[in-house]
Amino acid sequence: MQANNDNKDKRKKGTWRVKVGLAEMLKGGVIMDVTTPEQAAIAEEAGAVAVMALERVPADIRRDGGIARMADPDIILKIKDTVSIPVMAKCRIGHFAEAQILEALGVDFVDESEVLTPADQSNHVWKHDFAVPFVCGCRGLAEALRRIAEGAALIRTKGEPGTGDVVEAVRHMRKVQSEIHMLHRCDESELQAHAKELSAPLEQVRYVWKYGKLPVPNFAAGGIATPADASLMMQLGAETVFVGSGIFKSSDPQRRARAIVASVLHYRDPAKLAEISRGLGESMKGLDSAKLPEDQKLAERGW
Amino acid sequence: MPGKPTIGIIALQGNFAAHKHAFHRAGAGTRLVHSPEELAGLDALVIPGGESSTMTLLGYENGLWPAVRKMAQAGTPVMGTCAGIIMLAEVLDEEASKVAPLGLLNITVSRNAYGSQVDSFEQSVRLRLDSDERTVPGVFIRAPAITHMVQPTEPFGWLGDEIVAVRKGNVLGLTFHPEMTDDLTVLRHFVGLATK
Repeated sequence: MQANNDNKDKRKKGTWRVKVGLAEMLKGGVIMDVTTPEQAAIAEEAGAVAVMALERVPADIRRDGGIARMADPDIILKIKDTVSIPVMAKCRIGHFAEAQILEALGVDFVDESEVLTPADQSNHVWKHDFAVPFVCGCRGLAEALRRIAEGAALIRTKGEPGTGDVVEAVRHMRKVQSEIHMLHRCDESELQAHAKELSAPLEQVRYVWKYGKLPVPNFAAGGIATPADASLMMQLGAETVFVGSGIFKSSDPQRRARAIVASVLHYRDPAKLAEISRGLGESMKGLDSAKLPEDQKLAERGW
Repeated sequence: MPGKPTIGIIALQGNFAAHKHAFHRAGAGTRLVHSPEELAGLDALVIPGGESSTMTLLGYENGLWPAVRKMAQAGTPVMGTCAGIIMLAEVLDEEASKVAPLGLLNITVSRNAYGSQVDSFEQSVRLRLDSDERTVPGVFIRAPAITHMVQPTEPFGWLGDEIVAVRKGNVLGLTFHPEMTDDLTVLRHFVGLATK
């Protein structure tokens, strides 16, 4: 035993390793939006790796309008009591007080989300101040690296939530991947210029250059509604998918939830996917994200 | 000199990629396993961290778990970490569990025993391997706890007085994540078992 063992033996919570570690545990899975304990039970039963506890799913937030805020703690606690899988909850962009409350409630992950109405037009939450890990959305590498520099332990595409239209999630994932490949191939002497162009910290840019991937897991979200959508995002490089309105806005949530979980495991097996996709009933109706008025595009929120 | 062993990593869901990279560093070959057909010819098996309820569902559907149990009973070394030790347990300390464990270790396990994610932690673990005692870094993420253990299952790792690693012959279970640090002690030991 060494003399410095006293210090080494102290229990350290909220470290970067345990934050990113939980994100790693969620890989190869499906994270489902739920608004009631009953829905949470259905999600867990279907094999979800985590649930996102909400008051309204994104499709309803769009329909209802008004200011979308953190969910009622009551709903979050009831859902926490119902399931044994991790429970996530959303705070508004920059609303660190909502994040503090979510941390006090003991949620397992905070999603600083563009689905809610932003609380700060300039600053995202400084996530290093928290023991709870954060996930943040991005439309490309620059945004991803800025969020990671602020302390995000997990990145997801923004997509266009609540539409059931996967086109924006595809655009964002392809952009992240192609920018990663570009950086990975460039010369070390060019990194500072790339950091400047991306408006991203050099340290994070250097990591991507060296390892050819983000320093944290990279998931897909925003408009995923079918097993085929999930497979598409996984084949484009997502390591897990978030499904928001797509499950509980469909005609048979149980079957659809189960099918999307299976499609993530078998994402490269078209014969299996064909079998999985049969007889699921109606998908959520959806909205063409290209026809949304500019002020209703949620992905534009945050920078 | 025996050849490099190939370790199968159950890849239904979870941090299988972290195990793959760590075992490469520890000098083993790896294969990701999703179905029983992919088990043929493997020297050892690893059940990674992740969600044991999801793993239960996906691995019984295609017959993977019964095949893993058979291999373990036939003597193939098997190691489970975090969700993996839950899958290896005999009994779970919870009502109406969504998890159906394999019963390969004589232990009772309580899931998420330390609380939610804000209570996940890093702390050193004391190990006894081949009658050699040493301290290694421990990463505990929404970790389970071993609440009961009977012979012939035996402890080999402790967090203070608490048992966090056990073995029964060729089957090893840990409540923490040796694959998440640079210390390869546990992984090298397991590669040794896979090489014999």
